[in-house]
Amino acid sequence: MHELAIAEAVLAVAERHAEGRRVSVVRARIGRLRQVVPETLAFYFEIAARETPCEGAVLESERVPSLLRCAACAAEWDPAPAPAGERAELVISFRCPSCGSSDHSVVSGDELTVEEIDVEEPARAVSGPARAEPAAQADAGTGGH
Amino acid sequence: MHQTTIRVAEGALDANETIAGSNRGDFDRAGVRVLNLMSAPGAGKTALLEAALRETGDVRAGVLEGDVRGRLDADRLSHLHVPVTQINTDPAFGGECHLDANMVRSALPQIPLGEIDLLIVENVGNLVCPAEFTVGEDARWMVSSVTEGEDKPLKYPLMFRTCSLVAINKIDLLPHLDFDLDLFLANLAQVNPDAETLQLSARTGEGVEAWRERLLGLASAGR
Repeated sequence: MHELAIAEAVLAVAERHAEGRRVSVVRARIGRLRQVVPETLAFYFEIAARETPCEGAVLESERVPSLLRCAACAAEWDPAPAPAGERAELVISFRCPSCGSSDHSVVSGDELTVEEIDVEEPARAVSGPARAEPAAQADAGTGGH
Repeated sequence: MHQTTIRVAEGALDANETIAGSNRGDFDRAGVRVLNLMSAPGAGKTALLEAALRETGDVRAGVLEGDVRGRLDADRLSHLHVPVTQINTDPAFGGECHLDANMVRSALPQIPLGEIDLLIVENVGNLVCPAEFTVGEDARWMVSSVTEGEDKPLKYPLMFRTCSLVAINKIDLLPHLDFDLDLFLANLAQVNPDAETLQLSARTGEGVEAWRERLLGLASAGR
């Protein structure tokens, strides 16, 4: 359920920037410090986008690694390394591994942004090299995955 | 038809943050401090509010109850001398699992802001979603009960990370459980080294006085 609300927020941003045009791709960045599962988000996005200009659009998420910087000693570390095994989540730590300070800033990993969208521009009489783009990409299927 | 890529670069939750800012402006103008109180379902948020709000001294407190359905929690608090406003999240897509800034905004007209100094927002019981959505609060606290296990800070780091105080409830049950309190505190310290903790039992009343003082103290915090 959690990703549904986020998917609706992503959809609202995409729709506003699309200004009525059909959207085929939405590209998002999701930091690893967010409790968002990209596959689940894409699934809910597909559902939420039905009967909107984003219907059939694919949500592509880039996972941004987490990195913290210690305010005391400037050491940098990843508090939540990518899961390497079943108990990998247990290594999570927001305390500096070098000096033990809890005072830190987030260098990356907090991202939850819509970076760009691909929209279909209405046909116009333009000269120049045509056929550069695949036509009607958004109609190729009912959804991503 | 041809495709164009449009640069957006906008936070997905920016809209929520904007509305949360408006809520906060309204709260500030009314001189009301706001606590967003979160937990898993059944951790004892309502019980701890019942225990704390029996005696509020000169602090005028109010409660905003967020639930998917019904007004069971609001009814439980109705015997206290504090205004309680209920929000149900279920008209939206079968029931949102959290409160967002807009839901709180739409409830504002029903909250007597002029008659209170402290508003406690009891969020929908859930350790995941409420962590992502701010509602215009001054403080974020959570209740974690000892029956939930020691591993919760590691499993729900965002929630534990965004709260400045964790009330550890149901400690009267410790003799009957395998719960390792020291391990829980160590796990919490890994995720949120600065979190304040209170150990208490809404059932026996142990630690409730400290909880009440801390809670009501929010009304004058930072002023």
